[in-house]
Amino acid sequence: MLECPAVTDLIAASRGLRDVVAGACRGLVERESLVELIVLSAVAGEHLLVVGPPGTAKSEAVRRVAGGLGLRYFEYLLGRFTEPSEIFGPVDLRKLREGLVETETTGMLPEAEVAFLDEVFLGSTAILNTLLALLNERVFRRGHTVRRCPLRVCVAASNGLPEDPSLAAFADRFLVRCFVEPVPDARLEELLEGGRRAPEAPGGGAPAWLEALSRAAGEVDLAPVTSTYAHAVRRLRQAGLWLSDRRVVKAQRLVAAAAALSGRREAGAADLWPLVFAVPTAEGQELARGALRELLAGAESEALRAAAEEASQGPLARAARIVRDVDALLAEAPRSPEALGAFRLKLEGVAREIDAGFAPGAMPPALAAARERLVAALKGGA
Amino acid sequence: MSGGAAVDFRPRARPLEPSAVFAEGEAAEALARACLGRPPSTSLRGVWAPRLLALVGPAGELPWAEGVAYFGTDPAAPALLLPTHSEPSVPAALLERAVLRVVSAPPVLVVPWPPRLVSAARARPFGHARLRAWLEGALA
Repeated sequence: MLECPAVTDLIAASRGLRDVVAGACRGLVERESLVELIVLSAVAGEHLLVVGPPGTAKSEAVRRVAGGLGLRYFEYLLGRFTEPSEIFGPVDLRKLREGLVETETTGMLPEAEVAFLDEVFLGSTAILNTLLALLNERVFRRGHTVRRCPLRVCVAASNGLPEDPSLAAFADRFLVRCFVEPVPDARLEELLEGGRRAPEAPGGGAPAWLEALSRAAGEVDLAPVTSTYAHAVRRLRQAGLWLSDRRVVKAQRLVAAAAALSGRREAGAADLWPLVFAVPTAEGQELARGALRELLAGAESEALRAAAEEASQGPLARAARIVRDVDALLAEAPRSPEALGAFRLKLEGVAREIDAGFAPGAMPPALAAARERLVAALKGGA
Repeated sequence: MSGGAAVDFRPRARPLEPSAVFAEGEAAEALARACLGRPPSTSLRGVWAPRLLALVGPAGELPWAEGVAYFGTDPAAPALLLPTHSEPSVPAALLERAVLRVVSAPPVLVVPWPPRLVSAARARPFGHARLRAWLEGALA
């Protein structure tokens, strides 16, 4: 692990983390929310289940976040015949001669800080039971081996949610749910272009930031948002969405992590958006967005803007994301006349998104100012 | 708008995907010039009148100019093109039924400010030659 100076300024810490997110997202299309939810889960110390078809860059996203944060990473594709030793490590033969069944865990899941388990529900009962303790208590127990694990976040992937009721309890350990789809037709060119780029070199991150943020998340005061949170849960129930009590309680950690990532020591309504991702099905999340629309209208996250926008579909989060898009675009103004045409089309595209998304009288001031900068660039002959 | 019943518009929680752009007066001229500044598009179709222009096409092809308004389809009222950022204060399906009594040729742009209904049923390909002719006032 790299040693960094003590981080006291949470905003600076989330800014550092935002760079890691940006690096991980580079070249990945439509995976911003996934990357941000991995980071949110890592800060909250919760686990994430990604549901989607194969080949949708799920493992790549996790690998990049782990690399960007400089965390020890383990990944494995589970099958029906996967042996526990393939994931947790082989039995230590020297110890076995002494009559002890110890597991040699070097380089295996019990030593990982970030884990990615593909097709997790295909795992055997022996694997899932050992995983259960590892996920819940961060303890690896097998034979005579009992070891505390440094696991921050386990990301599991599956093509679908398990229908077998016996797997439901295991699936419930994954508090955060993210549903991914193949890249839409309109963004295929970006996908192809991104795929041609060399992958990001791992490392270069700052784990001390993550430590500081995790600590800060644990210290966030949730009292100011408790009644709004309870109100949100009641709204979900009225909409027919019954989260397990465990989910309701644990999702508060996500809210606290969202507040810490935005540099806040007290959670507010702006930090409630992760509750949507604690709803376990895609249909349920869609219903939750509708049921919580008014409550989440003020949702905003400085660090995790794509996920906050996706959860809330709120105008403030959307406006904040567009302001950033405008600034990023204007910063990359081309110098060669040949590139001007394509640049102008990009500017027009963002101007269209602003004018199509916000009535002039309903535009947040920061967005109105960004629009002015954009229009000035367009009129200035960009 | 139809028979005197007032319909207000309020911000939408989530904007519609734009599939049409509408402009009048100076904004319409700016829109035409913006079109001419872009590579010719085969997928844009238009309806026009003096100082009024409406273009229909995929979102990525719709040009931008100061003062234009974007319209899209609400699944609840597929015959209408409604403002992307606003929704009617009455159920969209009811508005659709009322609008189609007045203008029977869908799709119909429902422009709230100032209120007007514009049928895009007869939208025609609107290439650079037509745009120049419209700008010169030579297009009836």
